Amino acid sequence: MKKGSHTRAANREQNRTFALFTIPGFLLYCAFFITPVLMGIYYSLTDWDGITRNYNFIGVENYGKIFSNKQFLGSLLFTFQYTFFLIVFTIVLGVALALLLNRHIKGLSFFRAMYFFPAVLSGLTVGLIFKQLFYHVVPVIGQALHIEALSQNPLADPVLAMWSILFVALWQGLPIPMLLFLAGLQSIPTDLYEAAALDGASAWQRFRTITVPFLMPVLSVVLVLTLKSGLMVFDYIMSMTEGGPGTATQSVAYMIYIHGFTQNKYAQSIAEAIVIGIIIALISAVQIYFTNRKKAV
Amino acid sequence: MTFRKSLAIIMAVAMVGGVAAGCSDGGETASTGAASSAAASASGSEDNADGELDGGGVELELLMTKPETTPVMEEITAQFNEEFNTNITVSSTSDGATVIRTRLSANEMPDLMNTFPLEDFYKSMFADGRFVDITNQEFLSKVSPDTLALSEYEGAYYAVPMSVSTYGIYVNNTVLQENGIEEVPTTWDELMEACETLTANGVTAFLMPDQDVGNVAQRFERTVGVINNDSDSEFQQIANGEMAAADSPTLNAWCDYNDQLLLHCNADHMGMDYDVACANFSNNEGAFMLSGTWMLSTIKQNNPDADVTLIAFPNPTGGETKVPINMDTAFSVGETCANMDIGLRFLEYMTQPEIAQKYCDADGNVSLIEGVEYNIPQHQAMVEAVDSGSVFVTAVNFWPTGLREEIRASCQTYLQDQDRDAFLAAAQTAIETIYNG
Repeated sequence: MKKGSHTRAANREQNRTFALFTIPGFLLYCAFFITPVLMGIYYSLTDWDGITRNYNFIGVENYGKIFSNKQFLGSLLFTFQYTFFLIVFTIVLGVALALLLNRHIKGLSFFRAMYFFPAVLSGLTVGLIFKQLFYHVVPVIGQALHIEALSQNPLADPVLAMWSILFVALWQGLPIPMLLFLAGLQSIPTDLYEAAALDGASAWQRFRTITVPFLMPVLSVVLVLTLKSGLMVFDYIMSMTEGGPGTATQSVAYMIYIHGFTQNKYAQSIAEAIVIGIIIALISAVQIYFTNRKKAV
Repeated sequence: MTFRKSLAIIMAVAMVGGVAAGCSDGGETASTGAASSAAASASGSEDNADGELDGGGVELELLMTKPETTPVMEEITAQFNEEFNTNITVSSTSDGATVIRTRLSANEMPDLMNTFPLEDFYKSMFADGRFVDITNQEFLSKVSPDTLALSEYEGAYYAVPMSVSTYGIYVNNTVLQENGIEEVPTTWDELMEACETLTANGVTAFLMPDQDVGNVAQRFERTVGVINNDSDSEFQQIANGEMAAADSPTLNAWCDYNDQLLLHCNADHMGMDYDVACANFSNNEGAFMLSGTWMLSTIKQNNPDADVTLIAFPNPTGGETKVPINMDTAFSVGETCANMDIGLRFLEYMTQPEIAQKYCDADGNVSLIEGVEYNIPQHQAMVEAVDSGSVFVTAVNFWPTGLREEIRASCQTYLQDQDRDAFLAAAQTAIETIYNG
């Protein structure tokens, strides 16, 4: 009994210490994160235009407008479509490149450095560079190879524009997932592969039953990162198409920017940001739940 | 609740927060501007022994949202700094609206900046007291009185206007001469005739940078104004349900003239942006390009020997042709200016004829300051239009804020597919959305 009360006292003391250590971080989190979020929610319930100091409280009117707005639904559709392909290609190409770079080949360090290089550039810079390449270089190649679709600037085509943006996003965005997958691959014990090979497992069976389960924690992280970057795509759109041609590449983030910064609908754009934030959170929660169930470690 | 569930909830909250936070800090300081304005009125300057204002090395920022005029403003501010012992630095951006909004939110307005006093965005800031009232300043008398009156906002002045821009068609005279076209077209029919000659010769008649949706929007707004100087009334009728966009004479005329221009424009118009179009035009790769007086400085940078002229955009309906003008450069003093005396003195300095002349020569727009000579031969047709009063204030100053941005995607789509029904339906929605809130 006496020993038990000592333990509880020690636990209480330990919890108090933990709490004390947590307070600075918690206060910073509240000041720089929770407070702006709450203020964002507050302003989304007003008609503030982002310029004047005066505004009126209008309740949930801004939220009501969102789903009756065809532009929002169109942007949402584009964003989901873009995100879906971004996730698929990031995972497939990221794993493929990681598998290649996990082999003992000549010049491995050079290739790793080369593949990582695009990640150090800013999205806006990359977008502006590729915008010029798409205008000046791609049509020349397309005409030389008699590929009609590429004989003009692909950014000018409502269908090709999304794929062009996707190409640029993958060119720049693949290195980090690739490195994460590479780290994941290198953490898999080699004796598992040896044992499986001795048992007669094919390469595909080894990949499916050993590699994939061990990559699940990394896959979960990559999924969240790619999902967020896909759903919030802005810099490539801004630098390459400005949402065009027409509204073919108007992402939700770009639409929020247009509403907030060119149409004086600042409060409405905050409401839109909150709605898209909730959508991202829901998708992320579902995805984390499923990937956690499947991982091996 | 399990740890995993808790973690999922925390992550979900974090995700929502991450997005909402991105937009929320805008209002954080929006209500604190008034307090800081009082402090700003304190003056740190004093007159020196000669009775001249001495800035005491005060540091001020001049924000220019017209990057093409930044070099000349750097020269002028250097001269001002030397004369008045100040340290005014010029910062520049091509995306003025975004930068200003962001800085408004953070209550970090520049001490001095160029404004566009006819635009709704700036009028909102005037109404909100973001700029100093300069109604009683003596230097306003140096501005052409008729045009000065345009910049009045509710009986007061918050900006000293320096120049007006005009909009029309830049003509590359070299290309015309090479193709045997001796006379610059003045009517729509003459323009189309010239285009047909050029197209028959395999030369690009019109350069249309249709990838640049901002340029498309501007072309729409300016040329709709030429077709109907009072387009706002017609759009109000559409918004009120008194007219359908499909029956709008103005919108249909806009489609008609673009249908004709598209027959004579660059094949890659949907993939070309403004910078490339301007470079091609400057280097004799096209005969005509729609733009305003501000483009001349860029043409000169691309090709100092380019032989170009700006002419009026002839009314494609055959009606009277008037030139759209817009108040261009104006200067204002921010409510939080670190030194009001110096700020106001800078505005006065800009209205001195020799300084205004220097600015005008570099800017290319028609100066409003009395005593300034307009020495730009390429723009003589525009000066004549302004002098004869054959001008109108461009539509963006009357349309509700955001209409140009709301409708621009539909305009761009029309230039790609010429689907008139779809365009008019989209225009109907855009006009209703903006006019009816």
